[in-house]
Amino acid sequence: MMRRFGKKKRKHGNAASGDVSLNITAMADIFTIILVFLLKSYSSGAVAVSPSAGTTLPSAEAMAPEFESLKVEVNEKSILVENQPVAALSAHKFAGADLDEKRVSKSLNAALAKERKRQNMIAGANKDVKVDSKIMVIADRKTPYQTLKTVLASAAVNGFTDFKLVVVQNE
Amino acid sequence: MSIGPIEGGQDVDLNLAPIIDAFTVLIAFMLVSASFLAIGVLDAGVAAGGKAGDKAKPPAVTIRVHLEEGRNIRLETTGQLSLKLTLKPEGEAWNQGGLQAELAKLKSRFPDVKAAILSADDSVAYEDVVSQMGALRKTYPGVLLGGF
Repeated sequence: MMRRFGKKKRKHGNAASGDVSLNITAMADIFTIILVFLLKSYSSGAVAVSPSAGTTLPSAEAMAPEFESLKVEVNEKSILVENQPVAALSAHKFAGADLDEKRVSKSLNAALAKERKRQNMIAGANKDVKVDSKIMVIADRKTPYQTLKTVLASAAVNGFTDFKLVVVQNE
Repeated sequence: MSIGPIEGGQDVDLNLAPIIDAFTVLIAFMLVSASFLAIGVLDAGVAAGGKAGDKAKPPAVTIRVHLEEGRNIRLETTGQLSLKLTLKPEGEAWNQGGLQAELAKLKSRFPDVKAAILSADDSVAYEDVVSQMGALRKTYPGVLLGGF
C-alpha cells in the first residue's frame, strides 16, 4: 500500500523535492480506534441467536438472554428446531393434515419428543445435568397467534413449558 | 514512526503498511459480521387448565386481556371484581395507553395480583402480541399466554 501511495506521489510530486513518502502513522491510529470501537460494540452475548434470512423479529423491552436452551424458529415457510427444518408452513400457517385434534403439530411434536428423549438420556447419564424446560421461540413478527399457539402447545406436551420469546431489544 | 537513532546505528523506519493492511481486513470483516442488534427474551408461561395445588391460593382477581382482530382490546376480570371492558383502537393503533391506565387502576385496587393472561384472535400478528405483552409486563410482570 505504501509503495503504491509512494509511486503516486512520485508521479505527481515536485521533481525538485525528490522522494515523498506518505505518513501513515495517523491512519494507523485511526484504524486502531475504529477497531477498538468495533470490538467493544461487537454483540457477543452468552446466547447466540441467528434467525434465518427472511425472519424479522418483533421489538420489545426485554432482558438479555442468559442461558442457552432449545431453539425453535418460526418463519413464513417452515419450523426449524435447532436450525433443522421439521415442519412446512404455508404463509406462516400449518397444513391442516399436520395438526391433530388438540391442534398440536404432529411433525413438530415428533421433533420435540426426539429432543426431549435426547435430554433425558444425557440427564440419565450425567447427574449434574438436569432436564431443561426452557425453550426459545424465534418467530417472525408476522406469525399469526394461531401458529404460535400450535408451537407452544406442541412444546408444552413435551415438557418445554418455560417459554422465552426472542425479540429485538428496544433502545 | 521512527525508532532510534540506535547507538552507533542509523534511523530505522517501522513499516506500517502491513499493519494498515491487516487493520483494513479486520475492520471490513467485523463490519460485515457484526450484529448491532441486541437480542432480548420475554418470559412467558401458558395459562392452561390443570389440577391446582392444595395450598395454592387463588388470586383476588384474574385479569384477562384479549386482542381482537380489529385492534380492539378486551379487558375482563373475574373473582372479587367482575369487569368487562372493550378499548377501541386509537386510529390504526392499539389503545395501549388506555389499557395501561385501566391496568394501573386494577393494580392500585388489587396490589397482590402479579399476573395477567394475554390471549388473541387467531389472526393477530405475533408482533402485536409481543407489543401488548411488553405493555402488560410494566404493570403485571407475570404474563401468561392464553387462548389454548
